[in-house]
Amino acid sequence: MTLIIGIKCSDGIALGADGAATYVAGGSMLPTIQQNTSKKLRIIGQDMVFGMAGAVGMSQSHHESLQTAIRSTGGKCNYRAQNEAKRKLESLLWANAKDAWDRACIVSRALLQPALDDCEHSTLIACSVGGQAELIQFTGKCSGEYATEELPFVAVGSGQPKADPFLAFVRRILWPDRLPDLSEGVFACLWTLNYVIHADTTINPPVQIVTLRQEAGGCSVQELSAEQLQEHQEHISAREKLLRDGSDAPGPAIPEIEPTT
Amino acid sequence: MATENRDAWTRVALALARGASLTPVQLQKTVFLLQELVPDLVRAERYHFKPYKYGPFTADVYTDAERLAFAGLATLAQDPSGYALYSASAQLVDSTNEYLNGIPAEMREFAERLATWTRQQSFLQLVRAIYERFPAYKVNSVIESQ
Repeated sequence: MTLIIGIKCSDGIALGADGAATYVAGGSMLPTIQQNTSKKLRIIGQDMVFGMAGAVGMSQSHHESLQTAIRSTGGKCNYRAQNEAKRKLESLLWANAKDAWDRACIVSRALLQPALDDCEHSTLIACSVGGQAELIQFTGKCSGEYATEELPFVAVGSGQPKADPFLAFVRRILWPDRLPDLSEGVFACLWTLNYVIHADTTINPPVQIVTLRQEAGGCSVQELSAEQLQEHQEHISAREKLLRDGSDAPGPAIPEIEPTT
Repeated sequence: MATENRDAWTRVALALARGASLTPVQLQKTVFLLQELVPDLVRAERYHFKPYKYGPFTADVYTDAERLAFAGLATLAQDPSGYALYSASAQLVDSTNEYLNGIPAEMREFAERLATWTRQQSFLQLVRAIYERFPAYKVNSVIESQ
C-alpha cells in the first residue's frame, strides 16, 4: 500500500512518499506481507522525479523508460511546453501500460475484475518543462493532468482518501490564497505523511521527501536527509501541541550576560 | 591550551542539560547560542551554522552527537513524534562540570542560564527568539516571526 504526495509550490515541487511495500496474493489482491522498502520516489537525471502507486513491475518499466528517455537528452528534460511534455510522457508510459492492459483483458475472461484492477496505477512526475518546475499526475490509462495554482496538491495510492482531506485542511489553514513556497510544501508533505501513517496501518515509515527546486536557468533535484527532516518533525509536533493547548504567546527574550561589577 | 575539536560545543550543550533530553531544535540552538554569546566558553573549532528552515542549522551537530552516543558519552532516544532526543551520560556531565569549575564563575553561570532558558522555550518561542536576536538567520524560515 502506498501514499505519494506532490505539491506545486511557488518555487518548485515538493514530493513525499511512505516507505512500505505490500505483497498481495495472486488475482485476489489480498495483502500477505508488508516490507519496509527504501525508495518510492526515484530521481531521474538532473531534473525529474518519478513516483508510482501500483504494481512494482509497472513501476520498474516506467522508471526504466523514463531513465532511457532522459539519458538520451543528456540527463535533463528538454520539454519546451506543457502540451509537448504531457504528450511525450503519456506516450512513453502508455507503451508500458498498454501491454499490461491487453494481457489483463485476456486474463479477465477467467479472473474477471481483479485482473483489470491489477493494471490500475497512478504516476506522479515532477520535471522541468520550459525551465519551469511542473507536477503531472497520470492515471492508469496514462492520461496526464498538471497541478495548478487552483489545484496545487496531488496524492496517489491507497493512502489518498486519508491524505486528500488533510492536505485540503493544511492548505486552507496555512496558504488559503497563494501557493506555498518549497519549505512550506515540504512541511505539508511531511505533516500529511505523518498523519496518514498514524491513521492507516498499511502506510508506514520511513518517509522520503524530495524537492524539485526552481532556479535561474532550470531546476534541480534534492532528496532531504534524515537530519534535514528532524526540525520539520519537531515543528509538526509543536503545531499539533499548539492546536491542543491553544497558546502561541511569545516567550522571554534570549538572556543577556550580566556585566561584572 | 590546545584548540579542541568542534564537538566540545556539543558536549557542553548536552552536559549543561544535566541528563535531561534535548530535542533537535534545542540541541542546535543551544550550541549556536553558546558559540555566539559565550565564545570563550571552550577553546574549540566552531560549527558553521547556516540559515535553514528554522534558523541556524548544521547537520554536523547531529553527526557529532551520534558519535558521542557511540562513544558512550551521550544517549539517543526517539520521541513518539519521530525525531531524536539527545542527552548526556553521567560521565559527560561529570567531566564537563570539572571543566566548568575552572572557568570564570560569571561565564559558567551565563552558559547555564542560556542552556536552561533554551530548554524552557516552546519550539516556536525558541525559533522566534533566535530570529529576533539574529535576524540574518530568518532568511529561509518556514515560520513567521512575531
